[in-house]
Amino acid sequence: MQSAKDAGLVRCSECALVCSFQKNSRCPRCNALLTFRQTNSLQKTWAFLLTACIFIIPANFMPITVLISQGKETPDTILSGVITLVESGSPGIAIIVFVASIVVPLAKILGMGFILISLQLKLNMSHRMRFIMFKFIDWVGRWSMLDLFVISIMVAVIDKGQLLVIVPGPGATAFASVVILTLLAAKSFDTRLMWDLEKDNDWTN
Amino acid sequence: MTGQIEPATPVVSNKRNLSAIWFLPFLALLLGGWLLFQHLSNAASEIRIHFENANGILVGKTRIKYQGVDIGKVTDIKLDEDISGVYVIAEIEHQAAHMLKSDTQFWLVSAKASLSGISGLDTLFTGSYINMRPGVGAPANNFIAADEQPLSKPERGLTVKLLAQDMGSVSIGSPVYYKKIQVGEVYNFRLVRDAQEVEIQLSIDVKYADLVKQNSRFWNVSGINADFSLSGIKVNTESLASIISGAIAFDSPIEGNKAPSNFLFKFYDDIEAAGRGAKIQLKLTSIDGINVGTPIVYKGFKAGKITQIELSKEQDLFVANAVIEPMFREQLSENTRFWTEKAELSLSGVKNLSNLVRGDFIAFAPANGNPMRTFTVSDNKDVSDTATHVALFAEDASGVEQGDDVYYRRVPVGQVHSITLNKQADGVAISLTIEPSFQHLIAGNTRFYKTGGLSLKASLKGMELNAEPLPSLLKGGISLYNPDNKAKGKPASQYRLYPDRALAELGSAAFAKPLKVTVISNKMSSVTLGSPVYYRKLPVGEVSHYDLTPQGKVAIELEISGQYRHLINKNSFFWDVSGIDIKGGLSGLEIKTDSLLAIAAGGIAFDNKTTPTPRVDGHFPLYSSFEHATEVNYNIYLSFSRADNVKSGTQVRYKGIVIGEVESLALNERNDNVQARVKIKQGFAERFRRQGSQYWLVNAKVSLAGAENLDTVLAGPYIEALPGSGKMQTSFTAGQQAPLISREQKGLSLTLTAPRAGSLSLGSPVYFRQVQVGEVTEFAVASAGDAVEISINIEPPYQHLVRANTVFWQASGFNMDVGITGASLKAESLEAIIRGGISFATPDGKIKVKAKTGQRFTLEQEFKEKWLDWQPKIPR
Repeated sequence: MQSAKDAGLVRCSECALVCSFQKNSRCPRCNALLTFRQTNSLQKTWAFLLTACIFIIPANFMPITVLISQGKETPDTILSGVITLVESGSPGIAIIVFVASIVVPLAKILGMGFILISLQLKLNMSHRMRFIMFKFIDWVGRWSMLDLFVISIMVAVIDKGQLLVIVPGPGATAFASVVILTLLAAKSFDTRLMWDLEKDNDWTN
Repeated sequence: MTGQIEPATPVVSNKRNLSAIWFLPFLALLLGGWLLFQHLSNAASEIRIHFENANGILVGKTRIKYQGVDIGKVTDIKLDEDISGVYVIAEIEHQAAHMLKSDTQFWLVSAKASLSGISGLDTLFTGSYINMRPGVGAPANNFIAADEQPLSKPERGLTVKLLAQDMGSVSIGSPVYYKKIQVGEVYNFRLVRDAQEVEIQLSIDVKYADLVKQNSRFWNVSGINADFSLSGIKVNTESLASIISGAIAFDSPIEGNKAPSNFLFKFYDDIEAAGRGAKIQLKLTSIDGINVGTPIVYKGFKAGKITQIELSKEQDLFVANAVIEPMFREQLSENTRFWTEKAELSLSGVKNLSNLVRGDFIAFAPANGNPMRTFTVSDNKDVSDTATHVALFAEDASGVEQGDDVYYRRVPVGQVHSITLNKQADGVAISLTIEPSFQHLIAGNTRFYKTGGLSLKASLKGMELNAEPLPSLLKGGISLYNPDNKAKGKPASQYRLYPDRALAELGSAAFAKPLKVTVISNKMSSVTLGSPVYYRKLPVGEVSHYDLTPQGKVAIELEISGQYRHLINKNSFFWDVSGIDIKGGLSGLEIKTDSLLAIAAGGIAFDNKTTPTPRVDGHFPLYSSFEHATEVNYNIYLSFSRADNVKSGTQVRYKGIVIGEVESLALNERNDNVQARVKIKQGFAERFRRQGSQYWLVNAKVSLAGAENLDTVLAGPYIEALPGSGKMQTSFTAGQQAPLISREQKGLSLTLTAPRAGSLSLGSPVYFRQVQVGEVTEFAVASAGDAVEISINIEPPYQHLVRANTVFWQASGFNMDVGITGASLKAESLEAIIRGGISFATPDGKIKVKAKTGQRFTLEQEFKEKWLDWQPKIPR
């Protein structure tokens, strides 16, 4: 299968005009720099991903919420919150929180990392699988915000002054960073890099 | 796309671009690394605290606090090796780790309520917590918890020690007060001197440390100090906490050096013991009523107290140790005297009543002289040598007792020293002692009188109670005063004692012989023996005797006090003032009484007039009343054809002023008239007992035309009078209505002749242009009987309106014209419709001369319209 790049054609990233490619040429319509692929796409994705990797540590080990009940502070990390939910007899919610807050971010980071590594090492694998994987990561990413929404609603609703109050912990900030960073990583990834690899490898296998 | 321009060949660099986005993971790494470093460097120190039990301690929940700040939390609880306690494992935050030394103390704080206070209330909400107090020593991580909050040995502030016989009610934590302000607390105690004494260690707050002087005294203020006395109950306590937990107070003399730290003080049992009073010894022959604690009083001021009493065998007396307030220290000398004051309760009086409650006391009189510390207590207050003695003479000693006070303006200035019969046994000699400072009050003109008791003055106006000060009320006494507040003359050798102030004012006249006067009365009045005799309401004597005379009259003997005997002379007249004289009627109520005493006991009053009083059997007559006594016969006699509603008391008025009243009514059978005897008041007798005086009865009159004299409906009729000017006369014929002559004939009188009177009546109005200008004063049938003569009177301002040609017509009733155009009704006024009336008008044209008094006019019976159109200008 021949790509546009093979045909020496390039699509302007700003105004989608298809031009013939020359190095360092600009779009005759919008004067944007013409490139075959997004500049440094892999690098950016890597950077975002690594940052997310760093932030996921405090996100999981620092308290995400602090429940102050009658003067007693009860900090909860994501995991301890899930455990509390299980203990208090809400396994359904526990599963949702567990999936949205632990599985999904981890899965995104790991999946994204796998895609990037496979592209860098030009691993020979099913391109279709890789693409489905990326689409899934892209789609599921937004659901990780669920936990933050729950926290923000709880903070707003549960405010009984001295008796009972919930405040977000430092973990919440880290967790929000992880979610945003993974979303940015997926955004900055140029899917066409996968097609380039397809050309290098045998598309059919 | 024609004429495509071949682009210039750009410079191509094959340098690999490193995206700027890579700073993000580095930043994250940096941030994460820093957080990690923080976490690691702040790693909590784990400590182990041994508790007896772990009640209220929860793993993960119980906090460890220092000064209210969370510094750690309990992470685990384990039983100790021999299962006698628990190890509480706790993490202490990094910042607080440096405080973990071998002396550091931990204890559990939980809510605690006790009598002396409530603490740890906050833990009810937050749960118990473990408190830490940092210590010194080597770093440690194994601790043994304290049972309760360890007592803070103050790091700052002053530490002082007290040496006490026992702890008393003082315990650790007991507050230390200075002027009832808590300035410190007891923080420790220990036995010293072979366990014979207790050393109490106090800490005084640093800001109060200056108050502790080397000569300060500390005493126990635990419990309640209640003082029950006649003056009330006084409860003295430092604070509620001190009642429960005991407390220490101290004083801070102004002079004195600041006490250094750990200065040793003696601890006194109470404030008295701590007092730095002068220690004295008192010798007593008897200790009846005297015991330890008996106060020593100087003029009511508690100046000290007995601290100890011992029997001195060799001297056969008691020796009492006492302390006297330092302020008297200088005045404890050889001249100082001590004596016992005991309560005395007798029928004649009570002395030192308060002692019955608070016990006897020892009084003392400080004096300057050579210092002395041992005194003999006498049984009675000796009369000091310097006091002045005053001799009094009295007829009896009632109300005066030995020891009673002598007052000057209610200030005690001395005492009754002795009361004895004089040599002739016809009187009592009373000796007074006057304090030296009041000696100047005694002079030649000084007068003494008995005080005491109550004087009650009651009258219908109210009651006035005069009481001496309570002590003199109970004790009686003697007062003295100097007339005109001037001490004149040298003190006399003897003075009279007057029974009361009033007599004292009279001076020696008070003892003049009373005058006996006999008055003769037809009947016994309500006076009795002792009933007062008044002169102008002043009691000047009393009824001393009464008897029947041979003539069958009552002779009452009055005794007029000597000082008033001059009031009786040949002009004196006496009357009875007994009882109450009430005259009541619809017109009001009149109560007459002389005095409350006279109501109860009866009484006789007298006064003097200018003429001698006629004697009865050689004595003064007793009149039944003042009026009777002074009565001059100003009566007149009125004869009425009828005397409806007239009764005794009916008033006689002139121009609204009451000039007399009906005294009695009688039927004159000769002419079937009612004859009323009327008493005319003195001032009016001259004018109203003359020929020409007129009297008539005024009754309420109600008619369609109005109501008159409505007041008489309620108050009854009265008799109106007009003065006369003729000769003196006492009998008059009273009219049943106002005589016409009584109308004030100031205006113009005219006579109108009319064929008949119509609806006119006396008083019918006379109108000019519908304004009333006069009235009908009289009716008379003409002598020939052919007409009626109507007298009218025109008021002065309108006199000039009547001219020779003036036309008068009947305005009575109303004219009604009924025609095709309707009906017209004409009347002068509503009153005229009812009462009738006369109108007049003067014709236009030449104004004729003014009408003269008594001029006759014809009263027109028919009214002509044109009369109303006359509008002449009538000059005055």
